[in-house]
Amino acid sequence: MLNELRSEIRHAVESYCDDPDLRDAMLQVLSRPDCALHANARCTAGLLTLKTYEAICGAPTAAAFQAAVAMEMYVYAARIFDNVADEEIDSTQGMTVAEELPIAIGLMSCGGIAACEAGKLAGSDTQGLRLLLQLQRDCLKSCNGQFMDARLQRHSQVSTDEALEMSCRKSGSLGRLAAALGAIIATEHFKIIGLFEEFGFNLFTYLQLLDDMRDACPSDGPMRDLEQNKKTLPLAYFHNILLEELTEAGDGIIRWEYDKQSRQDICQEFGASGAVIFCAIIAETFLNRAKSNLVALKNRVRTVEGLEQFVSSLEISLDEVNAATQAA
Amino acid sequence: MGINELEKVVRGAAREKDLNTIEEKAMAPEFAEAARTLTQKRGKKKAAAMSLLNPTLGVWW
Repeated sequence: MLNELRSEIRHAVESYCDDPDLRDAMLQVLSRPDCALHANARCTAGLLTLKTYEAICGAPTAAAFQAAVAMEMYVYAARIFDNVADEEIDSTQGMTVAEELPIAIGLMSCGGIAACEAGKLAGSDTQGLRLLLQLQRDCLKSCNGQFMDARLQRHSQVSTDEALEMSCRKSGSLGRLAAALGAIIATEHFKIIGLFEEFGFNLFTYLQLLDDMRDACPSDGPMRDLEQNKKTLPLAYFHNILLEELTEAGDGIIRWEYDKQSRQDICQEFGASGAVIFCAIIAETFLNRAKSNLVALKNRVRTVEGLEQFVSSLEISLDEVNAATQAA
Repeated sequence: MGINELEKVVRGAAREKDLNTIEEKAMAPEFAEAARTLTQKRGKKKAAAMSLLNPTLGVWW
């Protein structure tokens, strides 16, 4: 299924974009180590669309594959925007920021065409229109999360509620979209589509929180989230403890100056603060919710076995989180 | 979701340097269940899933 999806993604870029320079640049970006056409890429969003369809109707159709292609294109376009915002564009990969942005828009446009194709191939015009509406609505919500992410960086103190809300909007929305696209093509049953939307939302929020734990205090490489004053859930929790201590000490400083401490000290404090376990419990709660959604779907669709295996392949333990961070 | 209460519980446990027994603390049923499943997973390594946390792969953002 994964190889077929990759092949469809390549084919979509090659057939939808008639300018050879932009087309080659998009394929180059999609072949990077963390992108769809690379051998190690997981294509989580596209696979969720396909496996959702499979759970309801069996082997994915051409419409399901086009929807999965659209999903992947939007995810990679969003990632480029995120990398630009976080100043993580690496010039050694052969692209400038000015080049990356039109490539991202190009990917979104290819994704839009793929979504239209999926809509055209869907069982009815209503399903086709519904699919396009869902795409735009959830992308807008994800964009809202991305905007919130950027805006919270300017605040010295952010509640953990706000940080979680930002993750839910940014990534939960994309998960909801990925599952909804597969479900909308497969059925017109509102209750089933709604349950799949919840499932995708919970699963992708779980994945985002795992990522936030990994990036909060990584065992090697740059500590970008800290340096950029990110307010991901573990860092919002950690910041608030540090700020409280500074206030209690009466020194009047309202922003923690992490750069004056050694990496070892920061990581020691981070580990002792409970930030990882706090975030891990919340992540696990979202995972449990996703599993409950599958239980609720079990007798309403053909089979959820493929989705259960999919979830299991993404699941990790707290030991593994700790092993990848300095918090161990 | 009511995460403020959980935040207080974890902060209290961290102050007491007692994070290893967090699942025994009083918290909302949904969080208590999550804490229990996390504890059950301890020691059960999934090598394949480890790549999710490998920054070089960057499967997410």
